Amino acid sequence: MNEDKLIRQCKSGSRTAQRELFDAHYRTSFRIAVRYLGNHHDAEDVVADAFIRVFNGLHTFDVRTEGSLGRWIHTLVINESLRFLKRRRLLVLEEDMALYDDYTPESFDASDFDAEQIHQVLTTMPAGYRTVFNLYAIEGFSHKEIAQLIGISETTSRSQLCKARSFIIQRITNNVSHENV
Amino acid sequence: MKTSEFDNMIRQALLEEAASDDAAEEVARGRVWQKANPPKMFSLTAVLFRVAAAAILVLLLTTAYFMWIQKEQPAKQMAQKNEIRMIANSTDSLVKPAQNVVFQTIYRDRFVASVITHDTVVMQKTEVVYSTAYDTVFIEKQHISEPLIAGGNSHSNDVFPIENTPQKQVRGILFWRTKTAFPNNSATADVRRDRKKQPFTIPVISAQ
Repeated sequence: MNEDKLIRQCKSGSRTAQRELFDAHYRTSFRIAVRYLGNHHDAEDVVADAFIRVFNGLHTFDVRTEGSLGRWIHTLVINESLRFLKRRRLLVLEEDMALYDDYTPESFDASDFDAEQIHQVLTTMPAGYRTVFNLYAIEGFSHKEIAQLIGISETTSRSQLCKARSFIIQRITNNVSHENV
Repeated sequence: MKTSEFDNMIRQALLEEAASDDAAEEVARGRVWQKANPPKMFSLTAVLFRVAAAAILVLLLTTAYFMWIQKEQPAKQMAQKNEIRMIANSTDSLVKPAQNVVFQTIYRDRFVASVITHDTVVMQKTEVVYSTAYDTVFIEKQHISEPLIAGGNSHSNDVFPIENTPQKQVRGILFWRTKTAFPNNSATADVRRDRKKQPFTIPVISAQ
């Protein structure tokens, strides 16, 4: 079923269409939520809340191009994740830069890199780093936009991003060192 | 490595990782769907359509109900009177039809009849005033909207026993019935037009 037809059926209250829409976007939404929250349990709640917003707000959604529904849902999931972090006061911004001074992308050896490892590192990262890194490096928001989204200054956003990169590099490097030992 | 390259590499790694299966994620799918519990949505058009359909249905039901009530009500009244039998100018009637008796009814021991229905046109003129006499006659009803005038007084129940006041003036179509269990099973009604001093009809009603 194409997106336009699916949306029309969802708006008319078809339970089957709503389930189809949910199934089509669940997986990506869940991955996004896990990426922001760091665990499956919270991700379940956030994705459920996000889909409630999707179903309630679908009548206001205007299909412009194919795939725009997916982007809209993913935006809702990101917003819901940020709302969750703020509500639970989990968005703590770490300021101890000295810990990661030696770990910069310039010194990073890409051969140490493992795709599965990065996901694990992201889940253990402090929420502040993880949020800014996700918004900047993955979603492509600017520091100005991030500052507005989570209510911090642009400088804080930049410093959180630097720390996030250093955190990732440090964890990957150390992990590789441990494995070699 | 430049920071932009590093970021891009991380992004690609996450995309790769996202393509892989996650058992926990699939287990959570049903729970998340239950939590989301999508509400039944209505578009404005659908709501308006349903309201309009409900209004039409209510209107139709109300109309049907009132039509049924109107049809049912006389039937109920008839039923209360226990088998009213209409004998309209019938030759085998217990009561011989009198002249100008339009219909007559046997109701238990009483005889109910209406007369001068043919005079409707005349009676609709306000100057035509009828008087009735004879003690066995009740003026029961009239078919016009204006109240009966009996001795200058209007009565709410439209029943005028006339044995005590033999002279009644009634304007309108006259219906009368004989007094309950009249002694000789006969009743006589004399109806005339006073002002024209002209006997109108003297139906002699008798039950044998």
